[in-house]
Amino acid sequence: MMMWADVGTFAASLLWVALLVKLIRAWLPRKGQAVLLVVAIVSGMVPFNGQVIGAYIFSLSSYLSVSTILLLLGFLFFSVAGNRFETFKAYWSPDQQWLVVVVFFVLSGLLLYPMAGGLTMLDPYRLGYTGTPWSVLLFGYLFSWAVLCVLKRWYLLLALILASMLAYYLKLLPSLNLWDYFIDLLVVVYSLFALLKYGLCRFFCRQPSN
Amino acid sequence: MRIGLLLLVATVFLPLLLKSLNHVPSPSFSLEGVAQLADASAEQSSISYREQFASSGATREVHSAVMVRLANGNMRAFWYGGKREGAKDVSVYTAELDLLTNEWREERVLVERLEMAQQLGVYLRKIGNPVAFRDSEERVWLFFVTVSVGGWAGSTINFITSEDDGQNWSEPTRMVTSPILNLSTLVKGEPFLYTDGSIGLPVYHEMIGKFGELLHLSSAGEVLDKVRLMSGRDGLQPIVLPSDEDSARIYMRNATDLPDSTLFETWTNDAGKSWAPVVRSDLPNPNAAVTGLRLDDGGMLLVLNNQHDKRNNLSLVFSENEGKSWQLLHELEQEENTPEFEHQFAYPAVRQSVDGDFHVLYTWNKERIKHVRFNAQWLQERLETLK
Repeated sequence: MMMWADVGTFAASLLWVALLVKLIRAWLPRKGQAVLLVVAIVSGMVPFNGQVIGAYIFSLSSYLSVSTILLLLGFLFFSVAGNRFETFKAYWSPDQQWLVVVVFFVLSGLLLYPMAGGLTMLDPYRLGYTGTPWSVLLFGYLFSWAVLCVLKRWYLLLALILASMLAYYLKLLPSLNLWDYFIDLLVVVYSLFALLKYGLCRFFCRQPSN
Repeated sequence: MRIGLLLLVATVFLPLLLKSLNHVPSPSFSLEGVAQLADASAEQSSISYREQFASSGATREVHSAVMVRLANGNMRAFWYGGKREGAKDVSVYTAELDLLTNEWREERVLVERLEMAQQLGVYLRKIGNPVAFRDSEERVWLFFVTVSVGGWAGSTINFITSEDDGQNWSEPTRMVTSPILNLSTLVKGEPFLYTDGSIGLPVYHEMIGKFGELLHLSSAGEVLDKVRLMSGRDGLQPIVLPSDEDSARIYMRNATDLPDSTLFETWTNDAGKSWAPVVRSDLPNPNAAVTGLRLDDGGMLLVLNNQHDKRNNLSLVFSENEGKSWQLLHELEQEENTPEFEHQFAYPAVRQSVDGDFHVLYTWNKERIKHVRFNAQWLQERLETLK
């Protein structure tokens, strides 16, 4: 089943490249950022002790969700594209759109992880196996978010939810559990920090920040 | 535009709604694993009870042996061995028992850490418990634990399959069983079959909480459902003993280390749709693995450390009344610990071979895998003494 490992390693490599770009790009001029991206991609392909960096990250992260992969791809795209797609970027990721995405992941993570970790006899992860008792609850949760997204014009989150659903139907990840397609622990932890930063800025900054 | 988007949302979500409302019926338990006592004992004339080592002592430590019946009638054992538990040189070993001569053929490495890491495309730090079984299509499955980071709480389950009695094996598959970085799902209890050919895999979680779970796998090894058997920090390594198509009992290791700790117990009478709240059984348990077999007369045979602390005793116990009471059948091991040396008889596995004999494998002082073989007549005689 090397194919699934390839999917996992690819997603983990994206995370590696995005981390490098995020950490270093502030110090580089715009022209240098494209070079940085190439260097980051190449660094992800160099094997250490027989494994590429993506494989090491995949060992820790397991399969990233489709939502996370899309967000990473979006981040890298806009990092390379620079100003050329500013209008497009502004449409898709103004503050409110981004904030809704972050809130969605934090809420979903709070619903899933504490109980999935054994806090109670109830295991919300089981709801992700469609066809099992009460799995309709997860349908209701996601459907409500999707409808809310349409009514409130939260198109970034809507796109993530719909893309995750399509990936689930096409079985683009090895899991048959719906949760694994739209959420993972890394995006929830990232969202928690982002929300915390946003909240602190609401108190201490003049302009809210994303 | 909003109407169009709402229609799009409805279209995308409709298949999920239909799938969610269409509850997949729980399959019934297959009784293939039930041990035949009456027929087997009628065919045999003399009592037989034999002991030997299954492993050769090639590695300093061995642990966690399991066994599977092969299509050719022989038995195949698996265990892990290396310098010590969790060491980087630990591999899963396998050896075949010739049923007629009762001799173990030379063991060989089956799952090696670096090779497995390459095949799985991940970094692996260590290899742990294997469990094996044979499905309805005569395929042999080996599930085994790997860890990429940290201790056993960081475990992930993988499996390989063989269609020729363990001579050749498939590429490994890394299972997805947990939303928390796919960590902390381990195996010890033996898998079992459902009547539709799907697989039941008893597993346990060991990160922060410690609790038993039951995975329902498709015949291709995909996780279809996961049922939590308990919450908290107390119960590990469930074993499942079906008694009929709808009923089964589960016993779990008690991880509390309390001086009066006993095995945990739960049961179902609706093919696993619901499980009774977990209770403490009357069987002592020194925070150690247990194994067992359901007999065709409805009785249950367990192999366990029959005391509240230490593993210097390993016993066969029997219940004819669904665990309401237990009787000691035989002490497989009983040694006195000394200040210099503490005996360890642990991690038992029990299976019946095609000739009706019973085989118990267990870790013998972590140095060897011991094999005890007895026939149904011996067992019948022991059962007679209880009456």
